[in-house]
Amino acid sequence: MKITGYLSEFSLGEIFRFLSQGQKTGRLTIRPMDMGDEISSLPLASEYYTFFHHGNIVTSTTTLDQQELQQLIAKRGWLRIPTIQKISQLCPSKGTLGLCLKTQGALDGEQLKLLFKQQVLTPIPQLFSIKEAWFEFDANYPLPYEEMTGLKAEPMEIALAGLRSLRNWTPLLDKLPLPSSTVISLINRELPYHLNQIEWQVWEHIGDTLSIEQIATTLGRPVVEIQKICFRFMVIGIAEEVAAITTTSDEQPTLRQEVETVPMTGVSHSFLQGLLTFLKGKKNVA
Amino acid sequence: MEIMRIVVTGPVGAGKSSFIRTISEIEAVDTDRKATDETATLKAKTTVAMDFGRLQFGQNVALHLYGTPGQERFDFMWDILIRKAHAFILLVSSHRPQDFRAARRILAFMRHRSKIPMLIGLSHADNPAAWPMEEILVALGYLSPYNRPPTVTVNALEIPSVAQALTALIEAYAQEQMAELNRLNKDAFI
Repeated sequence: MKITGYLSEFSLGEIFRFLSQGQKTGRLTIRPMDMGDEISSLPLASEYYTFFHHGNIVTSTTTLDQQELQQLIAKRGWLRIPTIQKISQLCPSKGTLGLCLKTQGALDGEQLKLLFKQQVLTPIPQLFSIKEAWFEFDANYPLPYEEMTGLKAEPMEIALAGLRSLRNWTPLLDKLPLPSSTVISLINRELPYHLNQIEWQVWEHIGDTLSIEQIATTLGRPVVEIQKICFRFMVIGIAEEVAAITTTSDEQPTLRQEVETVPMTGVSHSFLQGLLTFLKGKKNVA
Repeated sequence: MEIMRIVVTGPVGAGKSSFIRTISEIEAVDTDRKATDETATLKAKTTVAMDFGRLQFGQNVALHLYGTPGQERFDFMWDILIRKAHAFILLVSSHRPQDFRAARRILAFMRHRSKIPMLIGLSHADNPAAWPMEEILVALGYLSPYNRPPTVTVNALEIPSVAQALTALIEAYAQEQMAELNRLNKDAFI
């Protein structure tokens, strides 16, 4: 399965939500077309690859040569590349390089965490600052075990970090929930994510009754700030936007009256049978 | 006269007007007017009021189809339509992921106000850039394969395809009606 698109159409947060909730495995490619403002902690590359396993992020690279993790380890002075390659031959081929090196006593858990931070936790949130990019998700791409530490990260946590640190929201403005909408919670258990203070304040106010505009007024905050926070909630899957009914337009009062007087009753079994028979005839029309 | 009312909804360009026009026996009320904003780049015209179509398949029995306005600023019409509809179809273009957000918004709006049976119709499924059905359903928020509305691909320009989609919706409606009847019978015995 391959799906493609542009971040201007389907934002990175929405892609992460899709891959996480769908428990997808495969390679996400991001090819920037407009980097926007300079992103200092993102290595310069023509394409960024993020690998998912059952919905979790397991590694990320800027090349497909399966050498990046080894180079990271060597740059830190922990092991030389020939040594890494020698050790990796002692491990099963389907195991991650990180776990192999740990099992063989060459690296410890803390070192793997540092590597994972450098690979995933620091750069990937920066991808959210890319202004426009083409993306592709390839579910058939094999996992690069040589690039994997054995650790994994929840995409929603990464997305939350990325959206929190985002400075330029211009590419996302048309994707924000409407000020007149309400936002309702999708979870009835403890929040799986750690919210900051303002996010908590907004979270406590979401529900059926208050619109985003009204929450902003209550909290004394700009509407767009609340919209951004609610967008974050939607991206990480803990809330949903429910659009409001807009004010009645003057041009349709007659129609409203006509439809309002129509009684609402069910439909009989014989009606349904007749309709299905009729539609069956339509299915055979050339 | 016994009438069944079905709402046909979905983002701009999903094929709502075409769907109704294809199956309607009457000249579907063409309420298209020139789009006045950014949707004009998508379509030269966009529905600013409501499409209406009718299928009279026997004496005193008819199916009425109501198309929601393509632009969400006409939500007040949706409110009326939902309250009077027996079922609805959500049409989504398979090749336009930028429309999945609008589709989710429509779904949340409808689910929040009505429990009527629904069907998802995926249009343009033959487009090279079309997402697979399973992926679209996940993108729309239907994560579990056991908790999803019936979903079909549909060509809004072809009579057999539109008829197939309506058949699937009517069958879903009939099933829910039967389930409701069983629930009522069970309550009567308790």
